Amino acid sequence: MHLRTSLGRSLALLIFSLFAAGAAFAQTAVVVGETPEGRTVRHGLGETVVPTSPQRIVSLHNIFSEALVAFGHPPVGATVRPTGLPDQLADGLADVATIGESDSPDFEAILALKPDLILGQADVHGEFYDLLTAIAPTVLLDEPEAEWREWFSALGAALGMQVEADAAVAAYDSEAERVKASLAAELPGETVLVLRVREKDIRVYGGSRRSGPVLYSDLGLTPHPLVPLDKEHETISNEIIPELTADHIFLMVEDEARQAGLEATALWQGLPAVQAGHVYRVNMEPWNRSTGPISFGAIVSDVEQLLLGGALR
Amino acid sequence: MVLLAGAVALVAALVWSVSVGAAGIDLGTVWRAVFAFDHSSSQHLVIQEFRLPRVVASAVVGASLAVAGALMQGLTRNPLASPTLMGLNGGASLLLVIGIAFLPGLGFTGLMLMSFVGAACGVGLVYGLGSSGRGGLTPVRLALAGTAVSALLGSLADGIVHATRIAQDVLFYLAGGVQGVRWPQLDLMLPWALGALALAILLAPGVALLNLGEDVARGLGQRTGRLRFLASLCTLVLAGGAVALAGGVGFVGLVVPHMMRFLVGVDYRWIIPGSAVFGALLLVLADLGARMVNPPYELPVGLITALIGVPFFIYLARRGDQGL
Amino acid sequence: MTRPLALVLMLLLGATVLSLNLGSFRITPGELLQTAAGRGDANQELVLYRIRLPRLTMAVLVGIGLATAGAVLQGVTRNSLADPGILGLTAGAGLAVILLIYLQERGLAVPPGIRPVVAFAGAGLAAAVTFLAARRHGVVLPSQLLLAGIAVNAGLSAVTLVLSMRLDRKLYDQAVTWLAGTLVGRDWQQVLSLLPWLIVLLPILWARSRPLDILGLGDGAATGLGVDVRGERAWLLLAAVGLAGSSVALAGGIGFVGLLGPHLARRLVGPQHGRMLPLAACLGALLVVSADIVARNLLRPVELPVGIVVGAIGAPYFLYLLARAGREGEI
Repeated sequence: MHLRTSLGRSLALLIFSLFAAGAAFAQTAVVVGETPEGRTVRHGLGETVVPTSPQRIVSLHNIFSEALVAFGHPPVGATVRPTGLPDQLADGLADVATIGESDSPDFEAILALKPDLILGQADVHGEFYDLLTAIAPTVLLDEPEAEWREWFSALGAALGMQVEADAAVAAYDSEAERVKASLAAELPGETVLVLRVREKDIRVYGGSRRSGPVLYSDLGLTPHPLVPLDKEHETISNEIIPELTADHIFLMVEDEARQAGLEATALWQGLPAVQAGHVYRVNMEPWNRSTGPISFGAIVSDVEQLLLGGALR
Repeated sequence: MVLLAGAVALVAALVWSVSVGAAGIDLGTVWRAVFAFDHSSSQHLVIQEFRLPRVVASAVVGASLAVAGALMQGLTRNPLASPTLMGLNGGASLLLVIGIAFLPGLGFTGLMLMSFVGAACGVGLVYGLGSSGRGGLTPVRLALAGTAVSALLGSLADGIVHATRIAQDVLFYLAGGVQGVRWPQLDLMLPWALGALALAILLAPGVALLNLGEDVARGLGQRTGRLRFLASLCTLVLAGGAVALAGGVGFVGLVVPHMMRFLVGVDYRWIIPGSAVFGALLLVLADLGARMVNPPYELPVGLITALIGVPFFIYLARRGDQGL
Repeated sequence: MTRPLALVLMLLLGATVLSLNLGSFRITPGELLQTAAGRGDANQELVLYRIRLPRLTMAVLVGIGLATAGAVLQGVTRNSLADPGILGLTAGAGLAVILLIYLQERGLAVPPGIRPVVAFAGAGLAAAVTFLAARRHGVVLPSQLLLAGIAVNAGLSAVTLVLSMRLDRKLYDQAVTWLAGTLVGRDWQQVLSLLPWLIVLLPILWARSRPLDILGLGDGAATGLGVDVRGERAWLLLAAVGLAGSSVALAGGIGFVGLLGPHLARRLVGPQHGRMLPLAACLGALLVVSADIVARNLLRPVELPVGIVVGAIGAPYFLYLLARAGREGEI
């Protein structure tokens, strides 16, 4: 028995030392050199030579599929979620071959597409890096937090599509700027919050990533005091419901039954946003599951329609 | 005497639990919210709509699980018999998954009924399997039959979950907790639970005799067949109702009856009502703990009861060589 | 060689050939033979040697490991329902992996490829806790072991549940796939880390089949026949834990193989471990290989976790076994 426990202890030690030694993944792609064959790109799992102008790219996650569509250069193959293609990407990815789900891609299907570049996530696909590299040059990157513009632009640079990348960001920025100006003129100082009602908890979404920076920075909306600006989200108790006094509430609903129960309570019905009819159901895919100019553009157009639709008409 | 002390402690715990929560509300307001309810006060609404039902639910669930465990142990004369080990959650999760995946729009109430039926089926299956063999229901056989049936139901549920990707949704129903419970669900479950609890207490003298042995009980004029049937029915309603209201809250049905045996002796006439009181007390306190450990996050109550229950279970298994 | 063993080996060979021929990348049987002879093109070699063959090998090894571990555990505990999972192995590995993913989500840098190591450590720790909890006066009784295992399982699952609820959906789906058992993207590297365990432990266990038979007679009888019950049991258990732990670490929580393989083997050749162990191992391999064929090809290119397919094949048979055993009082 002594032997066994000390074995366990040394294993645990080994693991902790491995944790300590583990190198941090690079968040963004970095072009470290140019060769006749292509660019040498440093990424989450090392350095890879990316063809000068990749033609057949396979995407192992929606974030890369979205970037490639935004670059005007859709992938030849992409993973799907069980829920299907997100609405905002449905047109751009209509003709793309499916290669399984993101956490269990079909390597033979990828190979059959004869790709010249594979894009995937460092945390999910890192364990398949060797196999993927045997199929085609592979670049693995983690999803960015708030600084998605830099991430996106760097990906463009790594793929030889920097002009397209910067143009897509600029187009998004100018659209956001336009809506921001109307919002500031029409609804000065009105507060908003994003709420997600799940089976047994309620979350207030914060300002750190995905929809957060779009609402509170790009569109200049005023966060309600309960919005945690430096976090992705905060779980609240249902006893806090009377304090959700924002002028506008964007609602992501996963559990209709629970939502219906909540809406039936006198507390919910007493909220200012509910009484004013300013509670809006929004689509989870662009609002909470994606990062990129197309999804964020979808959020901007949702906000314009929901908050300004009446005023403009 | 112990019962009385337990009841006093339970009342105190109930009051404490109603007065503690994410929204800071002082005791006087809580008192008025319960006894002089004012519709226009949001604090009163918080108490009435969220806090009171969850506290009542935790008491009912605790009492139900503990009494179900006591009945099972009495009927089978098996110290390890308890809802957790007998396929309760396996059955409930399978039917929940079926409900969520294939019957959308069922609603919280509908899902509750599904898990009720599933839990009852799971327990019935284990009980039947475990007791049908020669030599009856030994603790190890029961525990293994429970594990095996749970694994079986679980893998069926896994298959559906994976095919439909609803995993995390199901998780929230299964993770034990009473924070989602409100009056409509309680209205549905409360009469059944209270009825079954009352029946259990009425049956207590019979169970006490049965615990002495089938022959003794029959010799003393008990109609053992009818008694067994009623008590089993009682167990299914209690365990199924509890899991439907609160999801997987393990070990209450195992720990509390043993605690009572220690406090009031081996007489089931006292063990059963005692289990009701102390089961309620345990779960009200556990729920309070779940809220207070790391606010505003809530821990699943099931985690807290497991933290109490696992060491206790191991202690029981180590102690009892007799029949194990 | 017994006739059932020869039959199962033939079936396994058939499944192997089928497995190598099926996949999203089209290769005709003729091309496959050419590739095997070293005359295929680069892509065909890649498919055969880097994708299909390592994965197939992995399925065979995992099946052998789990089924043998299950058979030994059942022999040692004298209980035919004891599954490798019952010692808390699978739950421990699962918790360790969820914990790793959870820390990863919170910004911990994790080198790729560490997951199996973490899983193995989790499995080993959980088994150690189970042993410690079951040990009284230095003796580990089979019944105590089973009960302690059930308790440890329950505790670990409760903690796993809490952690899983806090995970982001993307990582949660990943965790679920792992927990359900998967062979996605298994490479020679993983095969090489599992192989030594089997090479060392399988011969040891097969050589101990007679003491295993004797242990089944009961502690008293075994001692009377000159078997060192305590020592024998401890070594057998340790070996079973090593086999099951390494399999689970590399393939996730594939259930039922450790129950079904030995059960079927016992029905075919009787309870003597000398004949039963090799057959159980081959049946385990057959089960996992067949399940993997279905998992890869049923919804191609979308893949099912292989553990779920094993469950779908195994669960009905197991239910039938349970009902039969219940009737005959064999549980």
